[in-house]
Amino acid sequence: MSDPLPPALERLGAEIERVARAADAEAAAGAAGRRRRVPRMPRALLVALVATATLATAAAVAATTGLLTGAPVPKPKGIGFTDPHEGWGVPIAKTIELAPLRVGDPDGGPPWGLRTLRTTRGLGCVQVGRVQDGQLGVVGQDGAFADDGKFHVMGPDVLTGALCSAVDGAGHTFLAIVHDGVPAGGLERGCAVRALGARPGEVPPCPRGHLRNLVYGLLGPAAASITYRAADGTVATQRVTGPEGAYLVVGRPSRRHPGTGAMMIGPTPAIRLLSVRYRDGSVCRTANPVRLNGARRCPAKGYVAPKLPRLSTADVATRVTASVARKAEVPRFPGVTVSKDAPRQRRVTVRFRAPVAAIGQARTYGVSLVPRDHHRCGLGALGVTIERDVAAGDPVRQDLWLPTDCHGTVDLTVTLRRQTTAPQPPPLPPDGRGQPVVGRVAARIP
Amino acid sequence: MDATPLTDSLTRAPGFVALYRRESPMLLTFCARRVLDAETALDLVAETFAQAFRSRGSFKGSTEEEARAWLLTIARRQIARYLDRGRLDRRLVERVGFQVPAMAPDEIADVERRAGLSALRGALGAELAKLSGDQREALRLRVVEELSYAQVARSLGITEATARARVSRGLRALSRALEPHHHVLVNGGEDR
Repeated sequence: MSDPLPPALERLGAEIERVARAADAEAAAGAAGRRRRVPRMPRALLVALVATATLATAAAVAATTGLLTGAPVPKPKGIGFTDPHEGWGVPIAKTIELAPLRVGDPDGGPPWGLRTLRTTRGLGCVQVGRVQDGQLGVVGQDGAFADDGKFHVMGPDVLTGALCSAVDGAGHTFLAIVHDGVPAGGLERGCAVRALGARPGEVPPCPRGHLRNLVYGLLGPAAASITYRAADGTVATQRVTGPEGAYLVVGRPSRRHPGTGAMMIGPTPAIRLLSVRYRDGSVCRTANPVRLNGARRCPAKGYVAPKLPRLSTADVATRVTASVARKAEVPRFPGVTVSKDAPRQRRVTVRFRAPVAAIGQARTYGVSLVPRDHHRCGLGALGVTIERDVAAGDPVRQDLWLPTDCHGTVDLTVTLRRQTTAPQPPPLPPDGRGQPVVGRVAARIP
Repeated sequence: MDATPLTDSLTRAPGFVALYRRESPMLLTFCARRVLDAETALDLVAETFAQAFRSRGSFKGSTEEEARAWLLTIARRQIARYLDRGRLDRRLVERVGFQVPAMAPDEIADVERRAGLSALRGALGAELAKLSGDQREALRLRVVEELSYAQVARSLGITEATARARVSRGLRALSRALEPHHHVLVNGGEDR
C-alpha cells in the first residue's frame, strides 16, 4: 500500500488510474483479436452526447410550450446585496429593468437576456440569465435544481450572474464582460466548471457541450451597435438596447475559446467584439487580440466624471492610529462568513475620523500596508478599499489581516480616492498614487 | 543516487500508476515553485502525466531515476510553454480524458506550504525590481498580494488574458532567480 497523496493529487491519480486501466483493457481486447477499428470514444464525450440529445429534446418541447416554473433561485447567505450602506449596497427598486434584448440559445429553450440595476452604493450592475414570461431566471439542468427541467426565477438581489461597476456622474454603467464556460442553464456554479474552483462532490461536473461563452455588457448611452464573429464565421451585427447600451452574445465554447470558466471584466470592450458603432457615426475597432497586448480597449464614450471637488492632502490630513492584535484570530470580512477552521491571521486595525464624506463609489477611503522588511513579513504590500458609506466626522475603523509569519514594522497609509476616469469594476484598489493622503502610521508586528 | 529498477513497465497500468504515486508530489512542488501558483501547478502536473501517458511506449529507461528524469524533462517543457504562451495548454489532458480536479482553498494552502512559496515570494521582492513596470505590477499583485487573475485585471484595467500574459512573462523573466532556489531544494531532497 503506497503512502496517501495530497487530496487533489489523489483525485487526479484516480483519473489517471481509470484511463490507464481502460487502456490496458483495450490493449487486452486487441490482443485477443477483438479490436474494433471504430475510434474509441471517451466516456465523458459519450455522456455529453447522450445528455445533449436529451436536452435537445427537452429544449424543443420548451421552445413551443415554455417550461414549468420551479422554486426561485435562492439568495446566497451572508454575501452579496445585503446592506444598503456597505459593500455593494442593495438594488434600488425603480432602477431594476430587464433589457429588451433576447438572444437564442444554441440548444433552444428560453432565450438569454440581461437585467440592469443600480444599488444604494452607487454601483450599476448587470445580471445575465435565461428569460421566460418577462422574468430573468435559470433552467434546472446540468445538475442545477436536481435537473428538474423547470424555469427558476432569479431575483435582482441574487448574486448569481451579477456584476457591478461604479456608475458615472450621469448614472450610467460601463461594463464589458467575457465569461467563457457558463452552465447552459444559466446558473453559475450550477455544475462544476474546472477553472471556477468548485469542489468535486459538491456539484456535478458540467457535461461537455453544456457550457456557453457569454460576451455581454453595457456600453453607455452613446453606443448604437456591435459586431462580432458568429459561430459560422460570418460577421454579425447586434443593435444595443436601452439607455445603458446593453449587448449580449451567446455561443458555444470553441477550440480557440474553450469554456474554462474564465471571466474577463473591463469598463469597455477590448476583446471578442470586432467593433462598436456609436450614435455619432464613429466606430471603435478592437485590434488583433491574438497578438500579446494587441487588444485595444474601446473608449467609454458618453462617460461623465462625477462632480466632486478636488481635494489636496492639506484638505484631508488627520490623525491616523493603528493597533495590532496580540493573538492571531479567524479573519472577519464584512458580509462574508468565514469558517471557524480558516487559518488564523494577525489583525491590524487602522482608525481615523473621516475628514470628508465618502458615500458610494465616487469617493472612497483606502488603506495600504507595506512592510519595511519584505523578507520578515513574506508579503509585498496589502491594500483595501473601505467599502462602506462614511459621513464627514464619522469614526472609521478598518481591519487588515496579515499572515502569522509576518513580523517587523509595517507602514500604513490612508488615502482618499476619487473616481475621475472610466470606472473599473469594484473593489477599487487604493493605489494611493496621486491621491490625497489622509494620514500615515507605522505599526510593529511582533 | 537512486538506481532502483522499475518493478512494472510504464506501458501497463500498475507501472504507470506507481510512477504517478511516486513522483506526483515532487512534480507538483517542482511546478508550483516555477509558476508560484498551486492550481496552475496541478494543471501542469496533469498535462505532464497526460504527455507521459501518451508517450509511455517510447520510454527506454529501466530505473526510477530515469523515469523521474524523463518526467522532469516533460514538465520543464510544459512549464516553458505555459510561461511562453501565458496560458495553459490542456489539449493533451482533454485528449487523454483526464478530468483535472479543482482544489479547495485548504488544499491550495497546503501545496503552497509544501512548496515553500511564502518564503519564495518574499525572496522575489528584490528580483521584481528588475522587471518592466507592467510586468512587475502584474506579478506583484498576483504573486505577492495573491490576488486572482480577475482581480489583477481589474486593478490594472486590463483583460484577464493580458494579466495572465504579463504574469507569465514576468515569471519567465524571473526564472533565473527561481531556478537556484529550486536546485537547493531538489539537491537537499526537500522536494520529495
